[in-house]
Amino acid sequence: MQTAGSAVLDKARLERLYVDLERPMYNVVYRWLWDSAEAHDVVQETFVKLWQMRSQVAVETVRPLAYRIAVNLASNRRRWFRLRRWVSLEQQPDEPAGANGTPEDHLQQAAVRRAIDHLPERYRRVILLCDFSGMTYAQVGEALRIPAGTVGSRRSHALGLLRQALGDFDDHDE
Amino acid sequence: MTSEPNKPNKPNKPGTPGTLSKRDVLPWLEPPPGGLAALRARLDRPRKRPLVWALAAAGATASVAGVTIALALWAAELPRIVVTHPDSAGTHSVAANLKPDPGPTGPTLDLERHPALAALPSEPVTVPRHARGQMAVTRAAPDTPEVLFYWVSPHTGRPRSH
Repeated sequence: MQTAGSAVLDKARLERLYVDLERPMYNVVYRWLWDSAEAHDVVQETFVKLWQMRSQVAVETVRPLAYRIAVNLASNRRRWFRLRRWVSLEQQPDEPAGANGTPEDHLQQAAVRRAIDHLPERYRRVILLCDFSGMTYAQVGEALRIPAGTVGSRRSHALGLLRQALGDFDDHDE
Repeated sequence: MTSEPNKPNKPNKPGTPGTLSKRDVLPWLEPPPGGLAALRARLDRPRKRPLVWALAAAGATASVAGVTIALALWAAELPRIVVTHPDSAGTHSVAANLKPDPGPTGPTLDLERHPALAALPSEPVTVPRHARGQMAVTRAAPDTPEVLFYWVSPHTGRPRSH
């Protein structure tokens, strides 16, 4: 909530925030939907919602709030897609859109996707936000409304589950 | 953001040959271009009245109708309050529907034949919901005629003699 004296989320700030968050947020929500257009739409929808609730938004805490909205939107949309697929018996594409490379790469990406898809939602939220958003554990905790310590333990558990599915991998970013 | 949408960036060097790096597992993907322009267009678009509001309005209307019907049914089932008067030979039912009390309270009093009772002033009496249909209101006979005194008590356990 906006407090007295806090900065107002005007259009210029919102656009700057969009430029900052578009890529990491897209990467987070893409792992829910596995569809580029849908992930992009969720990112845009997130910022439209932020704009609509700008009178209640404190600029200082807008990042966790933006990610919370994005993750919830992605999660809802994923649920809806699964229901629609179940009803229409539509097949889900096996590989991430735009994936290219050797057949081994395709197999590896499909395995990664299966592993991420099979993560329980609470672990998926944590590991994707920790790895892409650039937020601290405390901010991720604020976004997910859980304590920072829980963020750390869930992330560690999620990595363990991914290792079980994919074999060991280096846990370093760059 | 110069690479193609969804094309993974170069993976990190794995720690050992044949081992995945975390960026192999979670590679950075590039969003489709033109996101900011699309957002601007979306923000400038007039806000559509969402379907949710229409559904909420329909729900509210249905709720009001439901409450109205419930109140009407409740009013129709209002219990009769029985007024007994020590001077009278019988019992007078003053329920909203003015039906005679079919219980063991005796015959309905004919007001035409009992002008003293008919002249009694009426006072609103609030009866707890659980006690409706079981309460009797009795007018006591005080010494001072200017004072009216009523006794409200359950039917049961109270002598019915007058």
